[in-house]
Amino acid sequence: MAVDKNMKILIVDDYKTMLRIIRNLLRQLGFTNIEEAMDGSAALQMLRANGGYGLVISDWNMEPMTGLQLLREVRADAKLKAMPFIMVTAESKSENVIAAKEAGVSNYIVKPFNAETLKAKMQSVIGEF
Amino acid sequence: MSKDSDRARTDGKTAVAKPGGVNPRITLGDALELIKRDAGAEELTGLLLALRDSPDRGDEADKARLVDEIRALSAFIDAARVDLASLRPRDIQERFIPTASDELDAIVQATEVATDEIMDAVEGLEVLAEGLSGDQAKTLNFATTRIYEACTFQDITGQRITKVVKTLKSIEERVDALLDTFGGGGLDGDTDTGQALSRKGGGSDSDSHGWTLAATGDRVGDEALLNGPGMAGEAMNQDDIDALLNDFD
Repeated sequence: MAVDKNMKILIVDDYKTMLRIIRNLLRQLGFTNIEEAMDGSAALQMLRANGGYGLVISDWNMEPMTGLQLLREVRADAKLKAMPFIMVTAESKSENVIAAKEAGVSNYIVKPFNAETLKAKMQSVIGEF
Repeated sequence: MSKDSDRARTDGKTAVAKPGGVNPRITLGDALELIKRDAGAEELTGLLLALRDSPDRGDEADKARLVDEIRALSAFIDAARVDLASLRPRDIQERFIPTASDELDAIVQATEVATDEIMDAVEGLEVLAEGLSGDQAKTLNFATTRIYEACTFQDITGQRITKVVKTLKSIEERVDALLDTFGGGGLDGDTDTGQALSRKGGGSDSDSHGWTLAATGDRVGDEALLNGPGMAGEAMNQDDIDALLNDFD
């Protein structure tokens, strides 16, 4: 089944510039229904309050709630636990990847990344587009 | 505090022996107390003389050896104080670290402003690309994508600089502790130049590495996972991460 490019995507990062970059790259990939949050707690609030998101793309190192904590909250929430969740982070040690995987991450992108990697990881999570 | 120690004190200070005077009973604990409160060599020597002449004599050879060792320790402390003063810790605390932190903050802000301007320009080019077709549109879109990708440098450099600022903060805390240990202005040196710092090297690679470890080494749990971008050769690349993730499947 083709991916609905109108799906709502939540991107989470505490760097405004990074939010802007990911938003523009997603737009170039054809996705325009994009919302933003600047830390895990704001993202969790949006996920619970608004609903209807098809994908979360989150940074790890944020305050007060990190991306890993957000991921754990999402996986522990009955309504959100199946949400595709991609971590996009500069944290690149194996223990980070393992911790994220154990927490239920759908895929993991290390910064700096390119549009091709973003597309490939999205496709592995939400399907071909 | 021991009764002996109480007898050796007046007005909260350890009594210092006067040559030829009548010395109170002095204990090793009094000597250690003086060392703890950063007594000078003269005061320590006085106390040790009193210890030597204390009516509570022990083995004379042991006592003499103890006196020699503590005298050497006192000289070492004085020498260390001189060395530390030459590093001008007050300058490090009040001038160098705040200046370095401000400069680093300015770098982050400047790159953020520059990146936003680049993004503004590229978004303008994307609007232009919408009016093009064929290879021209494709080429322009490819170029704008590459610019967006390159702009991720701002996030990475920002995180690296944040790590450096945290390390500087750790150094500042240690300098604070050093100044507290040696008591107020006890380590004040000249404030006109940074010559002493230069002479001492201002922090070698190994020192700097040690500070970084100290700044981050005591974190546990999730906190220990927050290390920011790794150095080339140490960090895993995307292929390594993909392979690791595949191991789970």
